[in-house]
Parts: sequence; structure tokens; C-alpha cells
Amino acid sequence: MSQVGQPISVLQGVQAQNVVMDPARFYPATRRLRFPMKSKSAITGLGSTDSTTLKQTGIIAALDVRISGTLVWGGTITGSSMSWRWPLELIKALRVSANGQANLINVSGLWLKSLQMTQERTNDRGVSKAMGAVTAVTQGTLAQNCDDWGTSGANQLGPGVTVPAVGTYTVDLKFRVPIAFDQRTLLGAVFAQTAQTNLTCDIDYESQANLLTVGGAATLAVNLNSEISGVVYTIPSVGGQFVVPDLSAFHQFVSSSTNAVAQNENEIILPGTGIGRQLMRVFFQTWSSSAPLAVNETNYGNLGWRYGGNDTPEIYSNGSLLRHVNEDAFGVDIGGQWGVGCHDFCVDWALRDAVDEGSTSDLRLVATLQSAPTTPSFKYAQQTVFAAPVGA
Amino acid sequence: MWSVTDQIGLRPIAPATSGVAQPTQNAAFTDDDTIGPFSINNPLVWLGIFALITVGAASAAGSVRLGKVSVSASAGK
Repeated sequence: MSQVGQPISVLQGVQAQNVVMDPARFYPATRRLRFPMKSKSAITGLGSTDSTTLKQTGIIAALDVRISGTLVWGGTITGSSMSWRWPLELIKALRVSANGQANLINVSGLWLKSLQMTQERTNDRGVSKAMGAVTAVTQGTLAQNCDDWGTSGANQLGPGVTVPAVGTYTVDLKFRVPIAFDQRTLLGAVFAQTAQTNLTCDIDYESQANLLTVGGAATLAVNLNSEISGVVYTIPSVGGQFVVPDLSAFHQFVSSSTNAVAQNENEIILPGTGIGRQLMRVFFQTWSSSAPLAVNETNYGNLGWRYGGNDTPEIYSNGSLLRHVNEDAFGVDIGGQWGVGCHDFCVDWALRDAVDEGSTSDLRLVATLQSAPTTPSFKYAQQTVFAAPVGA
Repeated sequence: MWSVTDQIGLRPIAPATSGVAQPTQNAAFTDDDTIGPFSINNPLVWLGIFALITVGAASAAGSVRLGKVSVSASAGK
């Protein structure tokens, strides 16, 4: 005889059990889980990629990626130094794909740290790190006290730092990967309770040549490990039905870059805009002479965003003003040391301030450089939320 | 209160899938034991059998009873 199968539900574009979106019943009944998605093990190596298949359980809200180990410098240290990619861009790109959406997350460690610093309860106040020629920078490092950028006795590694001496330098970095846009309501979280698709997390490590310079008579042994810990919520059964929160949206955080910037005003088109997307934040950073430009009045003139012909809803007359506004909003001086600027549309009230990309054609950044940059690179990262049926 | 629309103003793209997860339009039917046209599991076969029995019985009864009976009908006054 013919048999009629069980009703099939589609959630975030994948087939799922017969679940019901009911946030009011979900929140009191679910349970938060934390477990290893990848156990601590040696990284594949600088310049290589670690691929991890995430466990298909519950609703994934966030991942915590920890990289720890040692850098062992030996020989004659003269001529050895760290680039400005160390340590945050040790993760050149972290990519998360889920439920048919490629690269929901595709950013470097710098952008992950920058976004982490925009969250409440997180700041870098008073954390001392070596940066450039300064051995004890205590504001704007984007580091937390637990972060170790490389320590051997009293010697520290950091961006733009000349390696002080041979020795074994301990390293301990942690990056929060926000799968959900909002960790409270789980807006943008990924439905993982399905065998219909793979959930993957790839970590591309920056090459050694881009991270540091090993002096002619120096030696270096890199002994780093990585682990991934997941924050997952169970799908509870309430009154005989499996209930989930509103999972009709995805959260995306992706970066791009261009070398086509020059002195005076630049307009950088934001790729991937479209109907059904809300822009939450845009971070940017300009590199000149292999180091980021601080966000200040000396380096930047007008900074803002624009769409259509010439509609310019927000414009800051110089970099210093934006740096002030960013510190007001986040409690962290993201522009002072790392040269990160942010146009934020959600820190106060996303419902009111988020930019509807369906009504802002040719959305673009405005960045005015006061001086001609040397071998420039303008990097930027967009944080968006988009309706689940829409392609990434 | 906790919907995506309420939180950030983002409205779902058609077809609407917010609220209750929608079943797919194509229910899953299995076709691994299809019924042949002359199978006794086919209800049409049984319908035909009953029809043949009924007509055959009526024919037999009519040949007995209708021999000397005239049937007439009238309408109106």
C-alpha cells in the first residue's frame, strides 16, 4: 500500500523535523550547552587551513576559537620582528558555512576582535601590550587580560615589535565567532539539528612571511594548537511540539579589501547588498606602509556612508570625531592603535537605526585620506542580517 | 515580540516562512508497491465484479417475471 510520509518542515532552507517557531515557549524550556566542536590539537601550520565539521546538534549561537602554544626563537635574534598582522591576523580568515549559506562568517581575527569589543561587558581597559615602539600600551589594544600575544619573562611580542631576545614565548588567543547576531534572542543563530547539510568551520592561518621576519641568523619553531568550543541551545519539546526561536534570518560578517584608494575622497562600494538585508555595522581600516593608519584628524578627513546618487545620511568631518563616537558607543578606543573605524547602526536600537539595503542602492563608504598612502590597502567588514530564503 | 521583524525590522522574503515552520508542498509519497489495473487490490476490479453480478441477476429474474406482464405508464389526467 502507498504510505504518506511524515510532514516535512523547511527551516533556514533545509528539511527539518516538524518544529514550530515559538520564541515565548522556547526560551524558558531550552538549555544552553557548551562542548568541544574541535578538541585541542596542533594547527596544520602557518599558511595552511584547518577544516572542522561542526556537530549537528541544536541551535548554534557562537563558537569560541582558542589558539595557544609557543613561539621558540633561537640563534641570533638580530633582524627578527613581528609585522602588524601579528597576532590578530594570525587567523587570516575564519569561515563558517551552514545550511546552504556559504561563508556566513568570513573575516580575519582582527575583525572578530573588533566586533567582540563592540559587545557590552567586553573591553580592553588597562590591558598592557607591546605595540610598535611602545612596550606598554594600555588602551585600544583590543586585547583582554587573558590574551597572550607572546611572552617570555619580561619580553613581549606584539604588532610592529622587534623581537627583544631569544626564548620561548607563550601565546594564548581567543576569538569569539558570533554565529547569532544577538546572543540573547538568538537572532541569526543556525539550526543545526539536521542531517541535510554540513556545517563547517575553516580557519586559514596567515603565512609566516606575512606575520613576522626571521633574522638571518635566527631560528623559529612554531608550536601552536587550536580548539573550537561551541555554544549551542537545545530544541525543547513543549506540549508535544518541538519549538525553536525565530530562525528566519541569518547573521553574516564578511570582509573585503581594495587597493584602489588614494589621497582625498574615496567611495568604496559595499558588495553583496540587496533586498532583505539589514546592515548593522561596517568596520574599516586603511593600511599604508605595512601598518594601519590611526583613525584621527591627521589621517582622515570626511568619513561616512552614502547611497543612491549622493544621499549621505551620516558624515563625520574627520577621523578624530569618529574615533570619539566609536569609543562613546563601545567603551573601547578601537581607532587609536589598530586604526579601526566603525559605522554602527545597531548599538542603540537596531529596529530604528539599521540600514535597509533594499532601499539604499549603491551603498558605499566614504573615506577621505588626508595624505597619499604608500602601498595602500583599504579593508572593511560588513555585519548584516538577512532573511533566510535570500542567498548569501 | 521576539520575531526578527520586531527586533530589527527585517521582513521575510516571500514565501513567508516566519511564524510557524511551513510544511513542504510535496508530501512524501512512496511508490514502491504500485497496484496493477487487474489486481484484486484495485477497487475498480471489485466494482466491476459487483456490477457484473448485479446485471446478471437482474437479467435472470426478468426472464421469469416479465413473460406475461405488460408494463405501462401514464402522465397527467
